[in-house]
Amino acid sequence: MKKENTSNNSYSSTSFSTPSIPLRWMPRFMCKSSPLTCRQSAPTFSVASITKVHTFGKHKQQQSDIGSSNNINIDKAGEVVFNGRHTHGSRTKLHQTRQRHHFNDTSNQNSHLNNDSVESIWTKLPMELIQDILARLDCITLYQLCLCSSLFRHLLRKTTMLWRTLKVDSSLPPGRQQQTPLELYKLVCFMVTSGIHVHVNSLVLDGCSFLDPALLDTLIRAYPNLIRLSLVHCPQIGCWQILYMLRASIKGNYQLAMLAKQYQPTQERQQQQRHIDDTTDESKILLAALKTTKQPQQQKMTLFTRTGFSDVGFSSSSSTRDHILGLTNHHHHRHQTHTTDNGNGSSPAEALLPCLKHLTRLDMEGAFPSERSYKSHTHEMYCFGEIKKALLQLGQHQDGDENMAPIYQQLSEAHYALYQFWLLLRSHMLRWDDSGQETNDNEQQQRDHPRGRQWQDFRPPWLPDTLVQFIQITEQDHPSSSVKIDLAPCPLCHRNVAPPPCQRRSLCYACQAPTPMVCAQCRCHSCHAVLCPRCHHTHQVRFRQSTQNESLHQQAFAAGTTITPINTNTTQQDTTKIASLLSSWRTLHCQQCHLPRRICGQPSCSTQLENSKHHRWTCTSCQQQQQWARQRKVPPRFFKKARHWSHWI
Amino acid sequence: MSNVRLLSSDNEEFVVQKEVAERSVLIKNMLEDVGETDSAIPLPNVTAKVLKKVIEWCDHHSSDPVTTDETERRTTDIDEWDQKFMEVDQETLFDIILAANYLDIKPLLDVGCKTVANMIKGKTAEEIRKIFNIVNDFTPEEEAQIRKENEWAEDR
Repeated sequence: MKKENTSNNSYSSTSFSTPSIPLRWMPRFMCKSSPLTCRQSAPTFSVASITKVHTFGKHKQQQSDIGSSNNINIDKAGEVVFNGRHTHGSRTKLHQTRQRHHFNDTSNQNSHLNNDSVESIWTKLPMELIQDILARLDCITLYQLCLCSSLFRHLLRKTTMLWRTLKVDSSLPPGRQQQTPLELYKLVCFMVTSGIHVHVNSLVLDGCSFLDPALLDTLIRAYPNLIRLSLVHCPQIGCWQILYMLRASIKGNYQLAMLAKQYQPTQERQQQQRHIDDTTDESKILLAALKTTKQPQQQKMTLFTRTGFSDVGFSSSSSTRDHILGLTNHHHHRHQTHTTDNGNGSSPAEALLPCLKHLTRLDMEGAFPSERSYKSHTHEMYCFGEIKKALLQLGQHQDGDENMAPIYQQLSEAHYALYQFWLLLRSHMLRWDDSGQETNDNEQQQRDHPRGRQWQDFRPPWLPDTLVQFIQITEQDHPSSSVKIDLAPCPLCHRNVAPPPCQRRSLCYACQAPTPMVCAQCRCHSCHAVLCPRCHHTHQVRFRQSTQNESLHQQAFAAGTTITPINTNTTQQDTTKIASLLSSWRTLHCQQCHLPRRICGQPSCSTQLENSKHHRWTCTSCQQQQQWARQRKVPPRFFKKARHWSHWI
Repeated sequence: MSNVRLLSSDNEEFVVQKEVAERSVLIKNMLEDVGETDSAIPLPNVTAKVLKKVIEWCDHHSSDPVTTDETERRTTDIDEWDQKFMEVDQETLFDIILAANYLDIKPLLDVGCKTVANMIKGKTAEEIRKIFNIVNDFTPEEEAQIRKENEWAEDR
């Protein structure tokens, strides 16, 4: 195409004249919501000013002169060259002079940057695009941006929307991860001093290996309006820590309400004084309160400390535990605040901070022993029940009411022993039911959960009311519970936690029927394949029979005579196939503690779990014990091979 | 299949297939309003260099299904082709983002924003300053405030 003279109709980025484009283009174009389009006046254009024509798509190029123009060339490296000048590397600099609050200044959006420009490349973007980019960053990076320049600091302070969800990126390189706790503390300080901490609704700390109870304590106290707290797969935060955190929050909130009532006149006086004295800053008081995390150990030793706090299998040192425990220690807080008085003359109520008052969702997958391949000793369901109980209380105890006696009584040691016995009894009944009703399965075929459903609601008359209430809380979703959690009792064994049936479903490994996700103990340890309740119980029965008579077991599986088909239309071939698939499922026991784990028949799963020489598997807690013993050169006889309780059932 | 003519701000004309051009909601709406036309659609905010890149992206993604789920679009990782496509200098990258915003091509806008976000992610303040050539312009008061934050955190 011949190059036209464009002197009269050329597009000027800085000065626009009356639009010469046809009016028919105007409506949608001018009404577009983008700030870019709305804020600009239409440029001058005419077809006469066209300099080149490019054809895209499958069509052949019509007089394609890209790269042959005097104005635009493409060099060998693929760089576009304008008038012989490379655009690459034309980094621009920020104004040396201060240019605050100019991010949304779109007056110069059309001005093209040249090499001599000193404007930041960020100033080209409208505010909504900057927010769009920043919304994709984790909170640590956002804080790093705050430290870049005063422009960013001011922008991030003002844009509260960015702080609604605080997400910590757990995929940082190890070097950076070591610094992350410190940066999180700095972030807390920045947010509190800026007053944006109240806008945080959601705290996502998934997979943070550095997250310890002390840091979690500070975070939940710094952000009082948390609606969602996600602690999925945090290795240092176990189910007991979560329980203590919740209990501490309940107690702290209650005490705060009581103290606030008690110190109301003092507070009013202080507020009046604050009006007069401008130097008193509320954020200072808050920061001082957040700093008081040196907590003493809980005075009353509860049942958990005696029945095995080391359930979760990590080093639950008293120092880390104290941070959470001590949150509730009213006496200590009172003493501390009276003596130190926070340095600001504030009341004790100000040293206690409200925690998790608005919580509606708690994600804690990966915090329970079975999920971590640790020994559970039945505490898992007990802890789960206590967490559910605490969550019920958290939703109810918010008003600082005087009648705040615990609605749900804590289980005594006798109750706890009874609970353990009940769990054992129920699992026995499930098995007895399996073996006893093998012949007349017609009714059972109608049900989705043949035995589980039957015995799940089993409540013997000798169970005390407190325990029945506890079991109900543990195994059912309470209608009055305002906090949703991401776990439920396992639909197969009822002894461990599993994802709730509504959340995750899978297909049965054997019969391909839709099946809710089960606990870590009931699914394949390697590939997470699951069995439906029917196949699971069939496998259990076959497995017990196989231990009695190995040869008979093999014959039964091969013949497939006792496998009840799920579907009446299931052919004999399908039945045999299901039987052979089930026969490949095996139960492994830890060679030290006999903790059971299941593996499906896939060769990759078998080789991954088993030691080919010894055909043995060691659970994580035993591996840690061995490692500890090796480090301290403790002889192996020091550790007796204790069998897991479930082995005896 | 009909073609559409697009006119860049520096008066270069691009002839593209209609379905490729209609990846842009702005152009699609324009074409719906006007109907079949021979005249070129002026795009005053997009230079030829950027428009060429945008058309290249639209051409490659012309058969992609339109994702209406905002969350899915935001959370999906950048595919390999897009990663290579976005290997341009910063100025061009920001121009592509602006053009995607202007032309209302949400998937391209997402890719651009994700690319910039990935450039920042996991970096320290000093590294971010280096990448974007940002000058540290804190006032003494602000520096004192930052020092205070550091002290508070380190004192724990």
